[in-house]
Amino acid sequence: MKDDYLWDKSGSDAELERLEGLLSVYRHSGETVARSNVIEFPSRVEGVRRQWLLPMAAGVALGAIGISAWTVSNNLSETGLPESAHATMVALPENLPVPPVMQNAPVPEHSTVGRKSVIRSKKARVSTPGTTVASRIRHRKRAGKPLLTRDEAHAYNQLKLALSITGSKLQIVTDSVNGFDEKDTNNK
Amino acid sequence: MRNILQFFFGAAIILAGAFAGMSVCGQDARIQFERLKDMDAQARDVVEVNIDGKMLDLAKRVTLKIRDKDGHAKQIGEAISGLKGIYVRVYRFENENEYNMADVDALRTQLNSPGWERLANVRSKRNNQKVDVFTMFSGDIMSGVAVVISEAKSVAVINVIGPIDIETLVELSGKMNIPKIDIENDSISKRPGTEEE
Repeated sequence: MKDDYLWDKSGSDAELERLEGLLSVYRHSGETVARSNVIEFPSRVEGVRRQWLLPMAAGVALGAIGISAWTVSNNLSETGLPESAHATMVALPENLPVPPVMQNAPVPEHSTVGRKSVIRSKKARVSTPGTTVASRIRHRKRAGKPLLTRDEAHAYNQLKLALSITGSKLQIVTDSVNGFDEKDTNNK
Repeated sequence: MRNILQFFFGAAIILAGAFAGMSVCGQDARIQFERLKDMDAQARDVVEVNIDGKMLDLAKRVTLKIRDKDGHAKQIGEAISGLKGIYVRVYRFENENEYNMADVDALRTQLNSPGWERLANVRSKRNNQKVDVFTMFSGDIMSGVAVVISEAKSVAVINVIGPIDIETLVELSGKMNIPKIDIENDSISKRPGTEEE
């Protein structure tokens, strides 16, 4: 192989000419190559600018998820709870002031105090120290006793008192009448 | 003219009879306790119980609601099912003859009015005891019972409006944790029974 032909194509070289013929198919035609065939690597400056976008987007997404979860959990505590949750109700603190107007006013079945849910009866009551409404309900259910409202208990007690007095006085009448009957029998 | 006068006279008699009948039928079996107001200040112990209207309905529902082992609540509920009111007044005094007997006699006068029938009248010189029982009937249905017991140191008036099973009431008195109140001895003894509440 002569170096001249390879340098400036002077002279002739059979071997090189044969190779040129074979490779002529792949000769550059001068047209631009389709961009899809070319992988462009971004410049170093552009990569730096776009680098913070992805973490920022991820942070925003996580924040949105956290806020929505917190909002949903708050909404659940305000609305109805399953019955099993009633056992975990917390008593009102002792010093919680109850306005006089509200003491006999009907209150919703569930109300929120801060982030704690408390069951109240239909008439507002102040729970006694050391006891909770839930524990009293459980105690009554365990004892198998019917739940009576304050008015029902009062009416029942009054009825018992009235009936007992009536019965005792009628007994006096009976004894008096029977006593006279016995006297009449003895006199005869 | 004479015929007209006879007609009006007969009509007047008929109307008077009709009004009298209506007054008896529509007579309320409730006693007026106003004459006993003075005893409130004089008496050492006063027991006043008024159960009627909504409270009585509530108490009836409670007796049906409570289920005790002996079934006394149910019995009481059945005994008072037709009642319309129960009124009790009991006064106990420190000393003998401390109250005005005229007030009690005025009460008895009410019960001598048409409609009331005296069922029992017991007098005893011991403790100056006077016992009167009156009943009122609307047809065949008892519409009221009144008991007036006056002694030297106590006065008791009981007025029950409506039909009541007296035998059951006397039987149940002292049971079902109803205190058997013996005012004469100034003591209250409770029969041990099931606590309902």
